[in-house]
Amino acid sequence: MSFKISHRTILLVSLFLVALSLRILLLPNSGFVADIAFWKSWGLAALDHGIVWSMHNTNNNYPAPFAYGLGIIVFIYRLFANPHNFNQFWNENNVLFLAIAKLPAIIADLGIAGVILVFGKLFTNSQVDTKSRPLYGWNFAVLLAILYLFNPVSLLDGALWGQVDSVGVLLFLLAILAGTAKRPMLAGILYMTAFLTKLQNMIYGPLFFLFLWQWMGFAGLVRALAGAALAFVGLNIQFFLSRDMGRVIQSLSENYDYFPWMSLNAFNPWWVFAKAQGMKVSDKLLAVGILNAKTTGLILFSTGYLLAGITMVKETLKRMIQRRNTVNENNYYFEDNIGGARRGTPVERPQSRNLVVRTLYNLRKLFVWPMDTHNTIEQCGARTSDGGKPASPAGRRAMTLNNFFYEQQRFDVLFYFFTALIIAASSFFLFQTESHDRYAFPISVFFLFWGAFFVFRSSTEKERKTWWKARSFRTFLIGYILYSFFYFINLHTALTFFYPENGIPALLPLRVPSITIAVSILQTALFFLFLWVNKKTIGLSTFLLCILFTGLCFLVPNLTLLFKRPLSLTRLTPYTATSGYGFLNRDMPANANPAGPATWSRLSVQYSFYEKGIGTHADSLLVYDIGKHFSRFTSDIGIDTEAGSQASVIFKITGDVRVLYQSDVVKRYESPRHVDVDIRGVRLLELDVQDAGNGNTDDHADWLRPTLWP
Amino acid sequence: MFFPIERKAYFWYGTKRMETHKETKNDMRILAIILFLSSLSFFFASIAFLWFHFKKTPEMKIAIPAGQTYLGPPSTPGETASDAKNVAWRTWEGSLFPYAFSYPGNLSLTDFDNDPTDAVALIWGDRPPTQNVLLSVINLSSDKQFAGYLTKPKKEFVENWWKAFPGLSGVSSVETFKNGKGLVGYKAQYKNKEGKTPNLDIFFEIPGKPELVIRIANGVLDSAVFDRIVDSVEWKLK
Repeated sequence: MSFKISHRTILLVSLFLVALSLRILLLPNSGFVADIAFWKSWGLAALDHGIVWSMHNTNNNYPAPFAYGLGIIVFIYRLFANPHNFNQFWNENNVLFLAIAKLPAIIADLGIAGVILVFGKLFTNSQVDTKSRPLYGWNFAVLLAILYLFNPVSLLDGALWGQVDSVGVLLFLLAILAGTAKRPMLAGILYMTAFLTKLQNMIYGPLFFLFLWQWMGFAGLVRALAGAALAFVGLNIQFFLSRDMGRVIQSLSENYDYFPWMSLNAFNPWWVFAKAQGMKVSDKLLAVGILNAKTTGLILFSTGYLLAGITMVKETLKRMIQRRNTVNENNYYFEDNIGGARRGTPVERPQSRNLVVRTLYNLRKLFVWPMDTHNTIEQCGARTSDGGKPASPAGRRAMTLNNFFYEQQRFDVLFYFFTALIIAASSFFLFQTESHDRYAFPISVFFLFWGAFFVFRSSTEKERKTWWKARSFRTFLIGYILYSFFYFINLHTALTFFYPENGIPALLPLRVPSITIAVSILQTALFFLFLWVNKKTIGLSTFLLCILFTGLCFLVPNLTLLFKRPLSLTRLTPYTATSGYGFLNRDMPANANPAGPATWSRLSVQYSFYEKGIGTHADSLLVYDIGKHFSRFTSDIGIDTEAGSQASVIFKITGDVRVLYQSDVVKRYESPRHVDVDIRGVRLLELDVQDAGNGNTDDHADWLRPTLWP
Repeated sequence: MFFPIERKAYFWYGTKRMETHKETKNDMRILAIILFLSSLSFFFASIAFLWFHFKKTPEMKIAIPAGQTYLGPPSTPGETASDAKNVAWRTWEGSLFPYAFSYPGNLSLTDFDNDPTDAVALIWGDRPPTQNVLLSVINLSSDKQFAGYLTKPKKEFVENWWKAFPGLSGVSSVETFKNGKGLVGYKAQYKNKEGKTPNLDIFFEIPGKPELVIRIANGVLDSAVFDRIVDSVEWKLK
């Protein structure tokens, strides 16, 4: 018996070889030098002293288990060279380290292409014949793999830049793959690994578990969550054993407001807002009424996320409130009165005419543990969607996990899921302030999966046979190329802002503000174009609901302004805030540690207590953007009762560099003083507390009931 | 991955059509093999490219991560740059004062922003560069504790320099010399509180600038390397 290698296999191997070779050529480039330097430092610390020590003695702000990966990289490096040879190791042109450090991202790139092919194989080999299965054959999957492997975005991010976004995406894809293969525990473990490798995967969590719930029912969701919890414990086991989980939590939360800027070189609307100075303009400046840019960004991102979430559950929600007709349910499973499958019976128990009762009944079914008591093939009966064929053992297992989310929706669920992922990732990149340039990287992968479903769903039976001629295929391809083109310019420009010598010289002129702003607008427009293309999938009602949500989020906090009511200054976030000692506290004095209630107390001056105010310590400076919305500023001022007897400070209020008020020396044991200043036309309000020339000992100074008047 | 490609074709096509089909398949196979060999060549070329970069002496550009972080275990005076003798030497020029000296290319030096002494320090181990100052320029007229030596012989200043530092207890020896660039200098060894003299300090007079003295200190460098640095120090008159 002779075996020959198919020419397709040879071509596929060639494809991967060329993709790998291109990446090898980029390895000696020192990439984003600062990132690589951090990998060295954190990895060396993990190798020399262990992961727990390294997290405490370096400025590692990645999830704790990521340090294992870095430790392994330095360990491999140590097999060939001495990482303690300072000049060699820390040289940015250390080719050996660059090669080892970039290798995981390169392997992940190839792995992502591999997963695309595996999905392609699943599509072509699926035993479940459903309406939404993208049946294109192998060639379509190969095309998607080519689009990713030779996408300049994927080449730049890992092999040139030295980042590990592709590793995070690969792990997340594997989690999805495990989910679709009905391995909820494994899916949960893989998701948590992805999350703890690349923190940005956090934002996909709710959508991912929602997908698993839809795919495998409540039992699948619970098992996946258990897997995720298990992985969380396992990957942080050293911290558990060291009773140091505080550091793990810190590593997951410390990045919030880490770089308080409009845009960290992400070309998005905030980059335009900051006039191409995204990393120089604070996101605490007001953007919509009294909402600062950060809050505005969070609202917009939440809107995008809401849109993504509703897109995923829209069909289920519809079914919950619809009164189901028993005649046209051919492709559905039918439940008995406890939510278990009652297959082989083509009649469903009639549902209530009452919408509320019906919805509650259906809502309850979402949480029913779908353990199937009818566990023989005969009892399980036949699936009408399979033309009456008895279910295979695997299919039966699938059925036991499925509950309310019906079999005929399976591939719809995947399509909606990938649509939702793109919406969530785009919203995260485009609408949040402090967005990093690399946050849109996962779209380069999600888009391909989405495309496979989109082309299939948007084509007629005839068009599907020659999918490369279909209009929907052209739409998908052009969309992907445009996204890749603009995003590549974004990434390349961000890299060359810092390291022009590591980029492509011919593209350096693109770094001018006008081009970056144009790219920002085009990337944003592309997202809205994506929504337009998916308007039927998302649905008008979903759009309207999200617009309503956004409108309310913007309107409610601004009612104070609209109705010309006074506003407590404590509702605004200063864009500069310093304090000479202790904590800069809202509604508490400087000694109160926000981390624990043991030290909490109320603001008071000579035992006059205040509910609202700001506790500071000289020398302190607070600067607020008040957007010229107000005419008067009033506040009581004084030394907090908690201060020692040596306290003496000077309060100063400045509006746009003009001094509006300056107190004489205020001391301990004085009653609160009242300040009332005219701030018409003022945009930047500065509240300054200085020591009165005798040092800042005991200078616990309070701004009490600070109020802005329209 | 491995399967007989003709089996299905024979089943579906007649013999004649099958021959045409087979020819097409063969053409595809040849094309695939050519592409594979090309990509294999490309792969080996990329490996050769990487190997070339790996083998060539890299340009020395030290990149230290920002902020307080870990750079390796603290180095000891014994771990000096002995291999510095075998690498190309470079020239460092002061940014404030016109001094210059040679140093091994594999040493990393740094200066400090707005530093009136125009100091240059070694980046070494995880010690802050401020604790590894190699060379600095002392301005006697602007330093109150040294102002009294402005008009006195520089050797006297060198003999009493230790008094400004509480960690030192006296001077052990001061030797006058002239380096390769003609600068007059003093090699001084000071006693610490334990009576030991672990370090060598070098002071240079500056021609025409009585208020200025160059000081060079050796902490971690191999003595041969340090001597060569000292010998190369010059004052470029502007």
